[in-house]
Amino acid sequence: MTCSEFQDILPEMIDGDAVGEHAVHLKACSDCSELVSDLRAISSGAKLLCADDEPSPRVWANLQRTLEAEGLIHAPSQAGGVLLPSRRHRARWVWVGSIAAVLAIAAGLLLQKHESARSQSAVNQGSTVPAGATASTTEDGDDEQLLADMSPTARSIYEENLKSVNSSIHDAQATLAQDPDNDDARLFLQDAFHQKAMVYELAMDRSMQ
Amino acid sequence: MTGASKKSGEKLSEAEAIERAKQGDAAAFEVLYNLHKRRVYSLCLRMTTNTAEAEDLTQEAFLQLFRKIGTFRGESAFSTWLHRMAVNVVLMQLRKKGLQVVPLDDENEGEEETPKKDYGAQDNVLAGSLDRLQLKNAIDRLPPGYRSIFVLHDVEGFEHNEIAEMVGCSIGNSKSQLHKARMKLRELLKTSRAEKAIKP
Repeated sequence: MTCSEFQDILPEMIDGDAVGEHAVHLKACSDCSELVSDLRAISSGAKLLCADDEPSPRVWANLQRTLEAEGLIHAPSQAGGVLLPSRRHRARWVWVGSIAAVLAIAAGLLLQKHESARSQSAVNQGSTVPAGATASTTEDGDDEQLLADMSPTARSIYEENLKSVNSSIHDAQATLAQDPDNDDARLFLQDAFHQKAMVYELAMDRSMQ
Repeated sequence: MTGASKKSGEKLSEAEAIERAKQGDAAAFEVLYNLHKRRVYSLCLRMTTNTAEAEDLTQEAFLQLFRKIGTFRGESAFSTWLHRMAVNVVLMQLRKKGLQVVPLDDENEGEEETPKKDYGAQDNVLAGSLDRLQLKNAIDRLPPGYRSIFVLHDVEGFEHNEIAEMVGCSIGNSKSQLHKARMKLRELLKTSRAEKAIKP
């Protein structure tokens, strides 16, 4: 069997075991053996890529708004973490909502300012910030009051989002530490800080509701 | 314990969240979203290679899911149901953009689409040294038709018969395109590795 004949049958046998003359050729030919080994490595490497990225909090915020507008979601449940006032009580929430909105905007602006300063500082220091400097939720010391005001489910979601965004920041910082000229990592870091500000902002909205 | 009698703070299981979501419980929707957002978003991102577009498609997939959740009867796994929906949303979007989703039949393919039969050198073996970032970048550089099949089969774990049905091609075509996608990836990975080796 030639290499060309072997390759012709490869799409059919690559995901199984080679048998008969194919197995003999595979054993004898180092080129084909290397090819099969590479293709299998690519295939198994691909399986590890699944579900390692996360959408920004903006996606859920948009979904929530749409679901509410379409009347698909209603009252807060006992499970906690419900962010929308029930229709029944909506009138009562109007004035509370107005005040909350003003407070949320103010808090958001303050947080963004705070985050922006931290972000700028971290980006500027890209290569000098120790890896993991902001990579855990425990050092987000301003969270205590925020967490205290949240339902358990909302808190769990907030912590999960924060952990995820901190992990992104950590990755970008680690990359920048190794390669300070990596513009992609710098942009990624800025984006991650932006997302972190958004996580805070959403959390503030929630705790105020 | 029924859903209604659950105490505040208890985490919902997926089955409980589905039942509550059918009643319009906002928290249940959020629980389901958080359980599956990574997988759906990753699929959208791999298929489109664009974060903004992937987020829009993730949103659309979940929206379709939540609109139809009342019809979910549990015959298949919820994740399978959602995942199918997400794939359909992405494929529809790719078709709208005029990108090739259905792989071309072998006889219709252009010369440049056919990966070279490059056996490579012994000292450039990929197995054992393949890093995720390199592989991600190489997948992003695949032509859309190859990428769809590769992502659906090797990343997402769909079988060829499922892919053929979703994409609208024959099983043989799906197998053949998958093989070509892997060959193209091998070529891209080796080229990228060789370029790195040359860099001072």
